Amino acid sequence: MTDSDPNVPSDVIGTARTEPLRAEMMLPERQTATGLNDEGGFFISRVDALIDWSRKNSLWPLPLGLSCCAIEFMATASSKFDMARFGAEVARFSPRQADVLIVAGTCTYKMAEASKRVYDQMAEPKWVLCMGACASSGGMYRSYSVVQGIDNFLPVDFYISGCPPRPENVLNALMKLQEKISRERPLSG
Amino acid sequence: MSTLTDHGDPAAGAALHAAFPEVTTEACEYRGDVTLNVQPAHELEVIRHARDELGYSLLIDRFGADRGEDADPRFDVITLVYNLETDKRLTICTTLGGAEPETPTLIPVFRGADWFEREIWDMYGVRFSGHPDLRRILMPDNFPAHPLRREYPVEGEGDYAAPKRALGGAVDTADGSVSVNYTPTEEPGSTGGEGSE
Amino acid sequence: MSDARTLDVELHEDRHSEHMMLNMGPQHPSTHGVLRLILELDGEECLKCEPVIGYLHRAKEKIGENLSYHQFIPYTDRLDYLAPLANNVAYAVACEKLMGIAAPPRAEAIRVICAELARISAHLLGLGAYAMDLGALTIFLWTFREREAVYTLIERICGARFTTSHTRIGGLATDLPEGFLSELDAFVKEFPGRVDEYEGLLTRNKIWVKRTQGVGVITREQALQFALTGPNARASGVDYDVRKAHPYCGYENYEFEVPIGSEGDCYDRYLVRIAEMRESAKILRQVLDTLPDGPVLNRDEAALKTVMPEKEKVLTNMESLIHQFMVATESINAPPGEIYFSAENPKGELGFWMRSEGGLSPTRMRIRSPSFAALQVMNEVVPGHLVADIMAILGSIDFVMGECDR
Repeated sequence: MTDSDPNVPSDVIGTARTEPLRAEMMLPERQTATGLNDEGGFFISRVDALIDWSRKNSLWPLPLGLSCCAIEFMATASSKFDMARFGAEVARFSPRQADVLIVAGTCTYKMAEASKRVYDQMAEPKWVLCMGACASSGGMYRSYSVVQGIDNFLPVDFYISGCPPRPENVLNALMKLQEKISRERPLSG
Repeated sequence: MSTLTDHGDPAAGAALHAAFPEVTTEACEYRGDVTLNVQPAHELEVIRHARDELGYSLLIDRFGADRGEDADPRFDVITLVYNLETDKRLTICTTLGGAEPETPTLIPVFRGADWFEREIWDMYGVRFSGHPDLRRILMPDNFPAHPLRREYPVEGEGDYAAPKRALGGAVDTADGSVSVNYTPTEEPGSTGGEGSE
Repeated sequence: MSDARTLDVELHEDRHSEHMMLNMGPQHPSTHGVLRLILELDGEECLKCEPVIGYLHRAKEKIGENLSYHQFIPYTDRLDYLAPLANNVAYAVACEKLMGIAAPPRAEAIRVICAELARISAHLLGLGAYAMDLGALTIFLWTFREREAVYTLIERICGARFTTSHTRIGGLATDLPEGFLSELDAFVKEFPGRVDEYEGLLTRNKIWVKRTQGVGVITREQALQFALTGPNARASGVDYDVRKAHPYCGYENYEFEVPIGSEGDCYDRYLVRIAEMRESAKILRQVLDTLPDGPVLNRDEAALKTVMPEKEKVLTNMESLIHQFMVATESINAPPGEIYFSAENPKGELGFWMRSEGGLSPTRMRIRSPSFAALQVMNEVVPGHLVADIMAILGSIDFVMGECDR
């Protein structure tokens, strides 16, 4: 556009000179900042879908790193497997700021009360991923001190099997959780 | 190939026995580890002598063992100490009996015996007189038993019992029989899923 | 304690101030697992620090009394879960001491490879988490990059990245795969350069030095009294390394130094671990150059009833078939007796004391845990420091709760 306008000096090519251009282009008066006019500038969606999209792509995990699975969780968050691709690298250890509680490791009776408290302190919407065999069912520890599965006191969305689960497995569960969230209907119920 | 059987010093064991002939047994050696048995009341002075006179200045471990419900005396308290100059280790074992076994604490000799003794109390129920803060360390404070005793089952009992689960989601009923929570389809004359005899 | 640091602001002593009890953990990013610290604070200064442990007590010692010797091997992975192979090696050698058999030379050399890879891996994570707690996030991502390389090597050895269960009583589960030695060689060539990178970011970094030098001093006398071993004790001047004092798995054949610190503060513990990583790379280089050939399981007469026989013999020889059946289903009968064996794990001296009265499982399986002793020192060392120093001290002590609570 600027090339064809003899009134625009060559050394101002690239600057925003909308006033004379607008007159040249004979566009209507109202114009949005992006340059789209009203007739072409709609984006139609359900509010539910928008909310789901924003929630699932910015899940902030609370890694309840109880034992060995926490190390594989750390590996999932590091460069090789990179949970940041899913928007989930922001691990927040404060339950008030987290969305998904990842219980990674063996939960003992002594720790169960603290785990439940952490879950209770999380704000809605919240999800729970149960990582590893020990959290799912007590794992290899059938003993007097280990809770045989955190589903005894926490509602679990997905169980990740493995001892410890490979990072790919954790990412798989994260993706399944994202699919589950995208099926939710927060406003329409 | 390395040798695993030269970790103990029989001469030091003999010297320790010679210093306390009435209250210790002969030092015995098995696969190179030298062990001395001591009467409970004298454990403190024997270990103090080993630390100060024989140079066993590094505490390695202190733990308990259960010889079984039928044994009397029943509980061992075993201490491992190490000599940094000669690189040799010594095991000192004392055995306690009675319904409420008790022995003096080792804290005056090694301050680090604190948590080790708390663990022995937690797991075995052996008291340590003179311990400043004898309470449970690994189990919750209100845990009702001493779990490493031989008669305590590994799956726990009472509130802490791991529930029995069979394949398919079966759950124990109160009388010990197992009921399966599904109703088989097309099975004439079956009683359904509710409970077995 | 306050002489150890120069405080810019004079702390006012207010007799009417109340002390605050602050609970740190068990769920906390800096407690490296489920450790709870009950702090008594006077403003920002910590007066008392009491660690509460047991949140990860999984009853391993009790389980050890109920399972056979072979069945317990996977449980040893999860003790110090940052270095599973090192625990496997310690347990296998302890059982071999009990049985009175030995592993063949090739198995011993591969065990040294496993143990040193585990040491590198554990120190890397310890360093990464330590630096991350003090704010140096880059180190965390860099050390995890190295750890992924180590994981790849470990996966080549035994099939699992993490919980390996690779050693067996009498040797190893499998031999090294083809091509592994050249991969290990490439890793060992590259690794010292990486350690230089970490040192370049931290060792002379003014912030790091200010936060760790003079902080958390553990004296030699405290180290001896509180049963400290490993890098924590060596940083305080205790010259004790099980690999030198009681060599196992052929460590006497390799030349390496044991770094000893002088001050016993957090900075020294950091330097000792960095130096140990370099020494581990040296040991790996020597093992690569001298790796012997041979079987990886003990095939002597004495070990026939302990070790799985070769498959060809099982299919042709009746006695081997019987031994295979016995070892696989009932595991092994140990002679009665009590032994103790300890190995130099990354965190310190991991020991197994076993009492056997004959039979398939020990009647007492005691796991001597270095982290248990290391945490006890907290109440001696922390008072007088500020709250932010507690992260530095925790990170430098480098404990792991799986080992501490068993």
